[in-house]
Amino acid sequence: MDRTDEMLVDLMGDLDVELLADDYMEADLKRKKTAWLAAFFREKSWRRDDAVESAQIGVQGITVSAVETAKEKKRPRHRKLEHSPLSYEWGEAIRTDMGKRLRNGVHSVKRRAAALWGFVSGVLTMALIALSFLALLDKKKRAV
Amino acid sequence: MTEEEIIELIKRQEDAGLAILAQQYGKLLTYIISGILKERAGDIEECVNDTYVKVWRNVEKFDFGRASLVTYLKVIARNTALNRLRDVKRHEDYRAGAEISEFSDTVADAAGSVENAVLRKERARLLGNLIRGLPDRERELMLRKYFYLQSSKTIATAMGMTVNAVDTKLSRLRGKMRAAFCEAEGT
Repeated sequence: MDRTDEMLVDLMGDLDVELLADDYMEADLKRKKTAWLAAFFREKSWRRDDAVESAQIGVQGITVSAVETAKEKKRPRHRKLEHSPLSYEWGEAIRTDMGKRLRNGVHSVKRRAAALWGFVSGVLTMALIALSFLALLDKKKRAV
Repeated sequence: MTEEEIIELIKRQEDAGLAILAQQYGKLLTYIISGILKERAGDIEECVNDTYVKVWRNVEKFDFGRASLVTYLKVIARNTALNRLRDVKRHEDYRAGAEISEFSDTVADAAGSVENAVLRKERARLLGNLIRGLPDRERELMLRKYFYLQSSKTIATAMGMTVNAVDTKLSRLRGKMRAAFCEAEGT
């Protein structure tokens, strides 16, 4: 910062309040919220079934790390709070609560379906083995 | 709740006024202050709280005919954050064993001398006139840079410009300001 910069920063504090009746900061906040929503829907990370995602939210920054399946490479992503619209509380609520619940729900249904299918296929296999065994016994009896 | 109702509550020294103030303007103040203090989370929170306390204590002194409550909040938040930044930097310089920056000396001198206070007031008035005469976009650029202390990148994003364009424009404006100050002070 050169001296003119320093002087301007210093003097700005004494400016007439009428000159400071702007809404630049409010506009920035609105824009960030919109950008966050766009990023949220674009990201879709919570819809990915084959990825285990963990979000670490700190006061000074947000680190979102994604640990993906063996098919995909491990790819950590780091975002700073100031650059990420994810810092909004309501956004976090959506992301961490609704998104997580939805993803967990999908996972839960898939897990249950997999368990049921495993059980059914197990029973069928056992029945097939039992039938084969019975058929063998029957064949032996007839042979005797 | 409208600004007038909040002001009334604060004037009556009712705690609810402060709570509503925090609820309605907390995010805005945090955004302004964090732009100045960057990632000093503890300091940001303290500055936001200091802003509420200053409004609470000085509400009678504000002229709401000249500016709205939110404008006063923004000015107080900015100045509180800037003072905190100077304190923090001074402390950091001191801890690092370095000399206190020239800027801090200038500020300390300015605060200490009546002559400097008069000069400062005169310069602020001149700056006010210069800013008032700027086109809207240039005024926004100046305020974003020197009042809210936003980075060129943030300004570029907000105003739909490139970082280079922001820096070039600011450099020109700075030159203009410098020339005006020199002319006014006869140097």
